[in-house]
Amino acid sequence: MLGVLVASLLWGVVLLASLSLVSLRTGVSFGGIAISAMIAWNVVYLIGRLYGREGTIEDSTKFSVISSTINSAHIGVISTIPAFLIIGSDIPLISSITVVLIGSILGVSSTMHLSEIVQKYPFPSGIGASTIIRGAGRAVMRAKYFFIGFLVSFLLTSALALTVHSEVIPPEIHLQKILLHGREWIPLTVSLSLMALGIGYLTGLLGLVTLVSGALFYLLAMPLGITKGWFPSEWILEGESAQYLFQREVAVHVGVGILLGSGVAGAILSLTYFREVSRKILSWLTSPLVYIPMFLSFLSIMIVSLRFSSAGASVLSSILVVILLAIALLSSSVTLGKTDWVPLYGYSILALALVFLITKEGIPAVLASALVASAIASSSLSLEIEKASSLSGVSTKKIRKSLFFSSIIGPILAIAFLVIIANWIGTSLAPAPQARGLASLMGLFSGTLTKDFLLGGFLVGAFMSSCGIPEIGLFSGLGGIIPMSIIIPIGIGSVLRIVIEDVLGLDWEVEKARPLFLGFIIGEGLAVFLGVTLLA
Amino acid sequence: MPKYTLGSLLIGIGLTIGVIASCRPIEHGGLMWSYLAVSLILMAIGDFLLYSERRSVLEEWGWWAPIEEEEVEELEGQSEIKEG
Repeated sequence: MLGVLVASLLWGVVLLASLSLVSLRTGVSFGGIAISAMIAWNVVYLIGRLYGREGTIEDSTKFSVISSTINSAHIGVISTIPAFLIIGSDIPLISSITVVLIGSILGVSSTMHLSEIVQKYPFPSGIGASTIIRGAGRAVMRAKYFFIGFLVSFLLTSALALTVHSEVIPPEIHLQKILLHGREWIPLTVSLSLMALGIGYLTGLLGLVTLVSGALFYLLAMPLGITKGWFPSEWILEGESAQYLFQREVAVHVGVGILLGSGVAGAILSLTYFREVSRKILSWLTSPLVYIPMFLSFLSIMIVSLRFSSAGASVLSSILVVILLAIALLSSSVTLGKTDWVPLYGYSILALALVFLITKEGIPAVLASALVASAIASSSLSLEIEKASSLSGVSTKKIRKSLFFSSIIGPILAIAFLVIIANWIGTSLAPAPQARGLASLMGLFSGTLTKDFLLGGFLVGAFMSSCGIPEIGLFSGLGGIIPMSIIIPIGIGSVLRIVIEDVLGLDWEVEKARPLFLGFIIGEGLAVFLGVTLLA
Repeated sequence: MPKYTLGSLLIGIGLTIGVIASCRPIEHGGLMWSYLAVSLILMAIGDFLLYSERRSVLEEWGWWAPIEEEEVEELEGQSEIKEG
């Protein structure tokens, strides 16, 4: 049905705009098919009525596939490409689109020979998504709660922006002014952000990790440092601005270090799964669906590198990126299948480090990391979709056309949206934590950034994440990077999740609260994106 | 005390010390190496305890653990039941 195609494109664009902004603001990315599938059944039902026939599970799957593929394109783009802006360069548009597009297509095509992995491992999100796609009985209720959350969040954010508040982000309450007279430097500012509340809710205990980490930075390390004379005592006299000075000068660097350390530890943990697929690597690589986009990946990185460095360095860095890409795609497939987690950031750090150390140039290094990130994001989604569709009884052949189609549109739109909001990147509205991490790493390698804060954070992040749950390191690092005004509502959201699970039960939590809080995230993300776009 | 509780506790203490040790600016001596070493040792012990118990941790935290092949059918069965 043409209606399903149009609706899925529109929904994909809404999700992409909203969740790109959310990812830039908080460092937390929401992709995957389950989010898109939330309203799939309802949309297909309504469109079916227009056409005078019933919607099918195949339509519902196609809707989810197209919209989720468009949305998930932001994950590879947002974590890497903004690094250009943070280092003070412009985004090289044609190179960026080309590289991200090749990565996205490689991600989809390379999974076509990994059906065995899809069958062998559980891919929990894929199983979850298939129940959402097929679960018509509860789909109406889930969509209802989602739309309530979406509308409340969108309208509240827009109303506050248009009336009492002159900025595009929700207003903040300065609790320290009310509660802590004379100690205004203690950061108890809370943003009235339903998005932050939703992020805390959906990430569960991870949100509490961010809250604890934020408290360690601002309520322990900062006062201790001021007492010990590490930081100027004038910071306290400057009241509320102390937290911004501490964040800019210290916390953000340590936080970025933790992020980098946890990313690398995550990639190493994922490599331990490589042996489970190492026997397949030859047959996988000899498929034209793999070696043609791999060759294009090699060419794209080599052509970009040749503009900045010698032929030898360009060829060497391109070969190493392609080898890393092959290992990363295979091992991250098993990692996703077994643990529902993808080591995307870790592999993009490794790609950036490889290319930067060889070519000494930032542009090919960031593009190589964008290539790897896009390929892993796209491949992970394809595997999840394949699992979901096979469990829903939809032939994977039927959805591959939709998958390819949207894997081409998604990256182009993701970069276009990034360009629209480029002026905000690097500000407190859009700190882009992961991309900042890549920019800091290049600063460290080129000697423009001191290693101390980064090194300490890196070691802490790497050791924390080696416990087998790399996300703990990521969420700890965010405690130093995003403002306390966002961290506090994230923590409140996490507590709400625990309370709701305990008081109202798991069924209520999954079927009602989760869609409602997801609606909060997407509603505010879209409102802020539109506000930023209008101001641009 | 379960191994994962002890492991989480050690990692939490390690993070606390590690953040403080990392926050000293270079003009005041930079990284506090001895504190950082203590932090990393605590976290390494915590990692060891958690890694062997991560299945329990992930379940406790509401996440999915690495799942063995024979459990896939069971999970798929559960998804059928949910739908029903």
